[in-house]
Amino acid sequence: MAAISDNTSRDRQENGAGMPEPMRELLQQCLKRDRKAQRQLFDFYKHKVHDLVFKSLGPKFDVDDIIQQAFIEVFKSISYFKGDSSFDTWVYRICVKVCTNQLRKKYRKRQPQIIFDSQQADTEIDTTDGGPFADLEKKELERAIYDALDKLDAEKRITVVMYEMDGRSLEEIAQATNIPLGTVKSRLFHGRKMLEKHLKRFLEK
Amino acid sequence: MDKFDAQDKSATTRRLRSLLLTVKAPAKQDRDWDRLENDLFAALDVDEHAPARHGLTIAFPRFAVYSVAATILLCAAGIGVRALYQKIRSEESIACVASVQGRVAVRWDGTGSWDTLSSARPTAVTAQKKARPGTIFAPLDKSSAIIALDKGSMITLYERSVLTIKSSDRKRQVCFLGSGSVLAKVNKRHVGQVFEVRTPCATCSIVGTIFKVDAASSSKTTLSVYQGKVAMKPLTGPVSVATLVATGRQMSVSENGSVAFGLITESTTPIRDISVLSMLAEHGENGSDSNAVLDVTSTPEGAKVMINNIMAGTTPILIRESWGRYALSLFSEGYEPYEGSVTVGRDRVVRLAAEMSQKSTMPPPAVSPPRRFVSPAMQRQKSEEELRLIPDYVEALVNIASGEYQDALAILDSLSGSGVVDLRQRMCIMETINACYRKLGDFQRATDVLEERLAKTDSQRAKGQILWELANLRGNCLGDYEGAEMALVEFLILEPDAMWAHSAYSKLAETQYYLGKYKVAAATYQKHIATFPDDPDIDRSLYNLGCIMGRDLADCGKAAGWYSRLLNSFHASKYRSAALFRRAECYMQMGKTDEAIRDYRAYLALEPDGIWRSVCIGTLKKFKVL
Repeated sequence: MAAISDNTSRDRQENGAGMPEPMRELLQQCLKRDRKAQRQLFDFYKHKVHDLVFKSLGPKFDVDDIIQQAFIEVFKSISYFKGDSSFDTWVYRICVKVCTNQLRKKYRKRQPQIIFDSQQADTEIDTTDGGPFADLEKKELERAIYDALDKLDAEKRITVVMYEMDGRSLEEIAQATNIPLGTVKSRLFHGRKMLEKHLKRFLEK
Repeated sequence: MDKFDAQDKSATTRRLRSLLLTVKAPAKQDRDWDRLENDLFAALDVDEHAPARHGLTIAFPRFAVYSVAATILLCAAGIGVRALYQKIRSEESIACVASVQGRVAVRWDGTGSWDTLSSARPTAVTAQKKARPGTIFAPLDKSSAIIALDKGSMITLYERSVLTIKSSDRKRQVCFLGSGSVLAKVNKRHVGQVFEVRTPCATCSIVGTIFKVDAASSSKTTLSVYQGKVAMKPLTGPVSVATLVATGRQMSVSENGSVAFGLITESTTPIRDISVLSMLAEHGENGSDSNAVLDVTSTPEGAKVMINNIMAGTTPILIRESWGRYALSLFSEGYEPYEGSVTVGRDRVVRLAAEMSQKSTMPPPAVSPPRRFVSPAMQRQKSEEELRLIPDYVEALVNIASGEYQDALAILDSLSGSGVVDLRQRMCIMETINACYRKLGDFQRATDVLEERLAKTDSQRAKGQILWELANLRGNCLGDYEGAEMALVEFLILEPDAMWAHSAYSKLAETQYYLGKYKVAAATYQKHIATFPDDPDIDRSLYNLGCIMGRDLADCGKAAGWYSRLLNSFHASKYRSAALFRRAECYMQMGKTDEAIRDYRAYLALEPDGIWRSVCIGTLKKFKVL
């Protein structure tokens, strides 16, 4: 079997010192609560944040709400960004924190995904919905994966997601979650074992 | 864990990784991002306004702490003004007037003519110069002024007081209160920094505190300490040592130098003024832009206040905002809404006393308005606008915005049954109630509300919309697939050409599939494919139809046909690789090995790390073609 392709971000080296000048200016504007700059920053990071939030929490959470929380946290805490890591890493760390909090808080009380609301009804149908109205094959697999992930505690889950699904290195995970490298390894090891157990039928296919 | 290999190359781990990598965040359309962006920045706006909303709730509990503590009252007699300072530092003056209520007489250099600052001319207050040493402030009858000393330190000067700035540089801030009373909020002093209020018979030296000095009476001076400690030193009488007055205590020094102590009483505490000073001072310390205060009162009290269409609370209220211009609306039941705008400068307080006029009790004219065509969307918008004039409805919206759905529901329920609203407005309220139940996750109640709306509405379009919502709620949130199916069927009968009818077919088929009605689901898919051949999502229907035919109805021939149609018509479909694998499986069932091998190979070429890779390789090996 060919080697599993690793995500490029794992190989990416963070460079905190060399922040590009336009980004520095953008952050300074954001610090002054300049809405235009904040919108630019949102545009720049929205896909990355969406990707991480969805992968971490799965379709059972109100992902939009969590993305919103993450960005509010970013904008509110931007004055604490001291440049000792890259801004990417800093934003990533905040997102991980928000996701972990969500997992801890709502582990037993999941938010049902609200696909449709009266505002949408006025305009047009959203075809990117989930629930039972989705393409059967992909959703079935996705549901099985998240059912298995649900059986992990928040810390193990976020570690597995960051390493296996988001392609982060162990060092990056340790930095983002502010825990020792050994703990990251331990969580990844046990998380994997548990997932392998719960996804046995798919892995034997 | 030393031997732990994160890159674990074992087959199981590789398969697990491959499986997990199949999870992809669903692509968002531009309009979804736009909606999310708007929600985000609306939430940020609310978040940044939040301190204003909670201004009172922050300030008053703090007061409660102060008032628990004791007070010292210092009384000092004396009328004449003594020479206070021999040396006045020539550093930059930092004292200026932050706010004027009524009229305040000012003599900028202690000599020459008097100037008057009036709240009727806010630009004069904004543009006024810094107070140099020797400047005298004297609020006239029923007037008051707030003087900003430095960031975090403010003085409220009450009516008929005379305050002389003796020194106002950064190291030494000394003022002399000839008569009247002042309330001061002073931030912590650094070593070597001095803040003193002198009266004719006492000196009060402060180390980070809120306190009030009352020298209104000619025979005594009273010091009330609301926070921190103040050293008070009588200037007359036999005892001239400083006494440290603690929080909540009063000290009074009388003309003959006698001293009395007591406790602060809540009734005499200027709670509101302390709140204003605290709000101004806190933001001065933070260096934030939100360092202006709107002090809104109304007649009658208790009117709901909205700043830039965001609910701020009820009058009387202090609202901390960034400096700038704000649209202000006040609502009170039985009174005409008050609309206005205020401009508030940096480090300034603007006071607004709204006189609200009672609504006319005259019956509305009996002339009926001319009938004209109004679209349902316009009707809803009109009803919503009308409802926004009802204070209770506004309060409900505010509760929804702050996530207090139960409170909003209580208000909306009573409003809906009150008879104040007409049928159109009631429908609008029910829509809001429905949204609340959804937010609360009480989908059963939300469904009930929709059913009630469905029974009452006459408009075909509105019915279609409600049926669509019902189907989604029942199917997505309640798992009531039968109910969802009924609603969808009814919807398709009612609006076969609706904008999202194509999606309704797809959803109907999937619902029927979940109900185990495979044949019916297949028929619905076929109808969908026949009716909407140009639907961009038709590839999904083709794929699902193939799955149902092959897997559930065991008709591999037809299944392969549908997969073939998908593969021939949609070369960039995301279901292409899965369809190839499924068709190969069908061919295997039908005994068409060559076609199956061709499809397995095509699948492997398309998805070298796909989830069915091992199955394909196993089958190809079995036929010894790999």
